[in-house]
Amino acid sequence: MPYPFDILYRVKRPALYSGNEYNIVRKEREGRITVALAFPDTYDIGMSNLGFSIIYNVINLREDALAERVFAPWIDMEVYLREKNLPLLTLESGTPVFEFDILGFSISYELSYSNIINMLNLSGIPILSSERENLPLVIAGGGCTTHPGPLLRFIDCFAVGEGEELINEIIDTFKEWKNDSRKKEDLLEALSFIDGVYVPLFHKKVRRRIVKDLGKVPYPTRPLVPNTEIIHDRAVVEIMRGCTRGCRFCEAGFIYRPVRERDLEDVISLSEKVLSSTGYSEIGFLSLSASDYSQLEGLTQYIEEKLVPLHISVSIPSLRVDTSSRAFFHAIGEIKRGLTFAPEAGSQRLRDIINKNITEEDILNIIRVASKEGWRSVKLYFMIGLPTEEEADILEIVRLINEIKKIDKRLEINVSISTFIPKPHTPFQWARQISPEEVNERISLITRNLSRSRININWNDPFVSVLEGILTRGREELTDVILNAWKNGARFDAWTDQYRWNLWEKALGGCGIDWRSYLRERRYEEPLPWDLVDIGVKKEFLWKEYQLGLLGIKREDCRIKGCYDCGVCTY
Amino acid sequence: MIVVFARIEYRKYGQLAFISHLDLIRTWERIVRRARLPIAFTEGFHPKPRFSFIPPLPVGFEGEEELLDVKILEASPYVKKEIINSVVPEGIWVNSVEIVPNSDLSKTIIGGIYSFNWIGRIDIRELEERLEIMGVKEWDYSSRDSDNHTVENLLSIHIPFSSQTISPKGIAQLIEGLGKIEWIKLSRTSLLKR
Repeated sequence: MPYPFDILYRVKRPALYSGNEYNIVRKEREGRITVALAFPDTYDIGMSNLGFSIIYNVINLREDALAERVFAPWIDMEVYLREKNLPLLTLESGTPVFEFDILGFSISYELSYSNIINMLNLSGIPILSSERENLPLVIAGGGCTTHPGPLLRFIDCFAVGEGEELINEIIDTFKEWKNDSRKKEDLLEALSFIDGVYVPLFHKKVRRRIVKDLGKVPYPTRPLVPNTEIIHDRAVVEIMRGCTRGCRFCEAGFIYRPVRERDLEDVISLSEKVLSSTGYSEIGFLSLSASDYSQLEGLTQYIEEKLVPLHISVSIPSLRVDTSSRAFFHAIGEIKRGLTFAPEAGSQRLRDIINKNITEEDILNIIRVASKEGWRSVKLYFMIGLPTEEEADILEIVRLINEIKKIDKRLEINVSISTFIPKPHTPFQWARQISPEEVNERISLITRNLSRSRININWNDPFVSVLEGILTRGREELTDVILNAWKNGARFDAWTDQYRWNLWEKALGGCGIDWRSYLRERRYEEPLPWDLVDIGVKKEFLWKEYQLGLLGIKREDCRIKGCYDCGVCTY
Repeated sequence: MIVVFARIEYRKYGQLAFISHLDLIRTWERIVRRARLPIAFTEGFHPKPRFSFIPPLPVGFEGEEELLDVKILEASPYVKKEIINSVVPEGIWVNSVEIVPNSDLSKTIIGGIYSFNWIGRIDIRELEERLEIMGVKEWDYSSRDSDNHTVENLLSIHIPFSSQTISPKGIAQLIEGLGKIEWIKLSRTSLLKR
């Protein structure tokens, strides 16, 4: 047992710490490079992350290495661990995290940074890289490593980009170093020569790693089957990576380029393997934009002929509903889940600016299709604070919702409003983020004008967006801010019930930082904190897209319209 | 089509003591799919295997002789404990499988014997007084020390499923309330049959 029975008996959700999943990998530590894979959020979130599962699999496929998992303990668990002076343990063997060779964090959102600090501390590992003389080597992968600024002093080395090949090179290098048992600095130096590795100590620019062919890297065909419910509790097959629709606000649309499809044959064979090794009754076909999968028709046929008869339900998270995908909805048949759809902006003017290539007629058609297919609820995502947004654009959101409402009297409409946050490596990376006061004004403009019958509407705490904006576009000067916020109790900032802006406000003030300065627009000439990462998309391309956006000029998907020379295909 | 039930007697132990009953149902759904048992599914949009369970174990309790009926389409020779045990997660182990014509667990299984194992000293007389007030009729100790106080103890208690007032969780809370103790193990060791 990793943790004593007595503690598990007292925490609210003990199943988060019980592990023992079917397909769990347990290996002897002796003679192997040991890696603790850490996810800085709870078990049920981390276990839903495909990247985490992929890396676990890649490492454990190696004879000479092993990977074990550790997740952020919930608040109540932390109290018991500190009370009993117990270190953080891995789920597989209950080994303290500090006994591993490598501690690898998977970081997918900025609001988990305080949890990273907390996990290091709970593991008994010094928080700052400069204070760590011994192992474990602390590394990080995941989306946030493309803008690692605020984490530079906590993490020894960043694995930037896709990890399937990169993690093996890191382990190879580590192994070689360990055999020679030299100084840690030698290890860091050796790692800095790997394509895709950024070592803060050496300030050497890094290129994002990209896997050329999805079919040639290992995929987890025997994924762990959690014994307690997780967020995405189903089998998962990634059908496509990358997206070139070119929505100008969307980070994923740039940092995962180029588009690579998995062959249908491969998709089918992986599906069979994953389903039979797990016993799941649901499968998700993952991509950023499933409608662009060129073999969607074949996939639909497979679902209809093979999965439906076996009572396997199917979800395709990013499928655009339109007349062409209607056949697909028939195929998955009676399974009537809610439709999720993101117009992002209410006015056509603004949708053109952000390059969301969809017209109001398209949107209304989607709802008509969904309504005809008998779907009962629809969830709509909008953003406020997009560049050049005016009052008229906000009122267009209200009007659009009302138009949708008219289509089907029985339809339940859920509206989710988020604040636009300029993201690194996107055309809008230079844009201004609106202030919390503006957020409140614009939200109230919507709520005042929208009749609420049959409509549920929710929005974020504006100060959550402020923190996300700061951590997203910040750099090393935030080191002490993160440390102090954590010392004052910041944990699980992505959880609305845990988030406390006052802790961060105090930490920022204490470091003499004017947080409002992070919201400002950036100039083209000024160096950006994430310039140290070359994601393969040219900065001039992003700037041009920004300028075209401001002029309201759309650009269709380059896979249809031809190359815009973003740079990634020749990278 | 002949419909019968596979009656599975299994242990739920170790870390899996901490998963809830809903989690356990999901875990079993996946086990029977992996074992490719000839399951009779429920009707509807999301067909599921048909299970009947005995009253759930509280979170934190192990079970030594838990029972579960699953509806199957035929008395297939593949409904064997070895096959199921080849696809269980650690924490579930099948003791035996038999084919029964009817699922009558709720009629035949009327209670359980629960054991409470802890470190720490509590007053035995006080405990017994409270147990009597709660309506507990049968209990037993594995050991007690000379001054009639317990230090480390295994207390087994018979709890009928029909009782509204006596719950294993309630008794665990009662024991906790009587002194500073640390739990070692909580379990349902056997079932009371009619």
